[in-house]
Amino acid sequence: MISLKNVSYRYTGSKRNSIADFSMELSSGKIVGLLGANGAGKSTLLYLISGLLRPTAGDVNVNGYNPWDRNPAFLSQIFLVPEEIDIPSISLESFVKAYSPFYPNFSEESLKEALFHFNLSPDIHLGSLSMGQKKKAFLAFALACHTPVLLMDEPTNGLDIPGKSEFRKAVVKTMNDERTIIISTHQVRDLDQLLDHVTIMDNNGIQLDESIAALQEKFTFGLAPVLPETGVIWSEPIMGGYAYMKMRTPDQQETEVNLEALFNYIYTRKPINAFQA
Amino acid sequence: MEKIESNKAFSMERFSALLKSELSVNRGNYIKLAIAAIGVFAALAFLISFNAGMSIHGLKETAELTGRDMSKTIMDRQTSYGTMYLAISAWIFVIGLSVLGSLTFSNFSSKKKRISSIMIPASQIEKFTLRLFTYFVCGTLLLLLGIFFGLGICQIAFGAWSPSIDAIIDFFNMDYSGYIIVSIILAVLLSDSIYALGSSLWPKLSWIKTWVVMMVIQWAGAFFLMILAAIHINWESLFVFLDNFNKDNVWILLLIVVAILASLNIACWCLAWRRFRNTQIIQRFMTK
Repeated sequence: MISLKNVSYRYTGSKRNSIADFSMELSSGKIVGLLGANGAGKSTLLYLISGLLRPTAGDVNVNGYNPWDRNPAFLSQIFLVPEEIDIPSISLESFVKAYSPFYPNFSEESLKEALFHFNLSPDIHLGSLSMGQKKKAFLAFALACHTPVLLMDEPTNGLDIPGKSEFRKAVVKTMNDERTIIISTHQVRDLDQLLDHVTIMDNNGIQLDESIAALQEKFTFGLAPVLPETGVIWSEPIMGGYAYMKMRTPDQQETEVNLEALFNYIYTRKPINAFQA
Repeated sequence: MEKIESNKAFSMERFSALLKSELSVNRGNYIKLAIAAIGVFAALAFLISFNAGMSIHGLKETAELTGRDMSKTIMDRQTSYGTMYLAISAWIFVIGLSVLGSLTFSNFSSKKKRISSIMIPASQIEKFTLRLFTYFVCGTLLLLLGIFFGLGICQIAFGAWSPSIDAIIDFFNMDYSGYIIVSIILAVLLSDSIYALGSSLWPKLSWIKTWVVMMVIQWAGAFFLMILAAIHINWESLFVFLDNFNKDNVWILLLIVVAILASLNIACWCLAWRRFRNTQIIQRFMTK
């Protein structure tokens, strides 16, 4: 369980809070997509959850630990994949030997499987890899640690197209009911069909916090050459027609959630009356 | 692979895993550092040996001295070049300690490094002790090894130094030699401690920044003392006071010096620990 209560954080020298009076609760067993515009505080939130920053106000609690204490037991239960990774120029084998003893749930089998997904050999030297390959190797290690909390900041940045698809498969493979995975990203299309919960935030707090199932129940998303006449709450012209989002009526079939449409709808229509309906 | 599950503030098992991971990940850097440290002393030893060799060879060529005078003069030159090596080595040693001190918290020199360092599942005290152990303890030993390695080269090349046991015994029999030795050691270690504190405050370009700050503090302090002396100090009474410190009371002064130096060393490491403990990934000079 991850819980943030009235958390604020202000970077030294900044005139405004990066996160102000922010509250959120996340139970385990979810893959959460954390979405927000640039500067909305997504990375700051991940850093607060992982104990890399100390909140200026409020409480953060992760599985009963205060992250700022940086307790080793807490650190062995959480893994952060930052946007830019610091990976040493050593063999993957040495890297795994050096860091895996700190993670009690680390599984070599999972690592091999994830590496296979990413088309990487277990006997690679990290110094000879491209940036994207380094990220894949790091992601494979992160997934293989099986920490109850896995935080990823823009994990698909730098991954090639097959890599993004393999990333989704690898995440799903290592997911279980005891695990919480939070993925912060701008590349919403990379997370298609991966998330089961979406949180959209800005500096003032959470703008949307819903499960994918609930979103599918409330909205339909589609592409059409001509906009439907009724119920459209958001639309955008695209090549050959429109992408749209509308309120779902009980007789309509559920559709996949178009995260980009949802995000744009939330950011252009505040407050979110649709959810209060 | 063995797993570490202990949740103690300091676990030897976790510390040794941390040490192993540090050596495995930064092996290349440590090897380079060791080669550089020993290489500097070796280079100095070769340079001095070359000059000493030329000088002694020149002496033999002139053949103006008789046998006994010749051997005495050669011995004088050997001692003189040996002393030169030790004097320059001592200076390099102090500079080396300050450089090692400024590298102590190099694992915090960028946001990426801070993230990977803080997120390792070990306690803060274990991570801090690791830095203290590698850069302060092992670094000091490495530099001492470098000095002796260079001395060995000098000894082989021109018989630099014949330690006189009597001189060593005399030194240890000297009054207050214990205080003097401890003071010297503490003063030398202070250069490491100050630069380690500087490294915790400014992990990037730490040596230069700390050096500038130290210069400013020293000049400001000297200026302040000069003004104080010009205004307030009654020199005559100060001399009288110092005169009254007869031989039996000198130890009090030396004890004060030792206490000040020890306190400064401890204070530097305590402040460095405080800074280390409170490091956030967004590093600002006065971040609380």
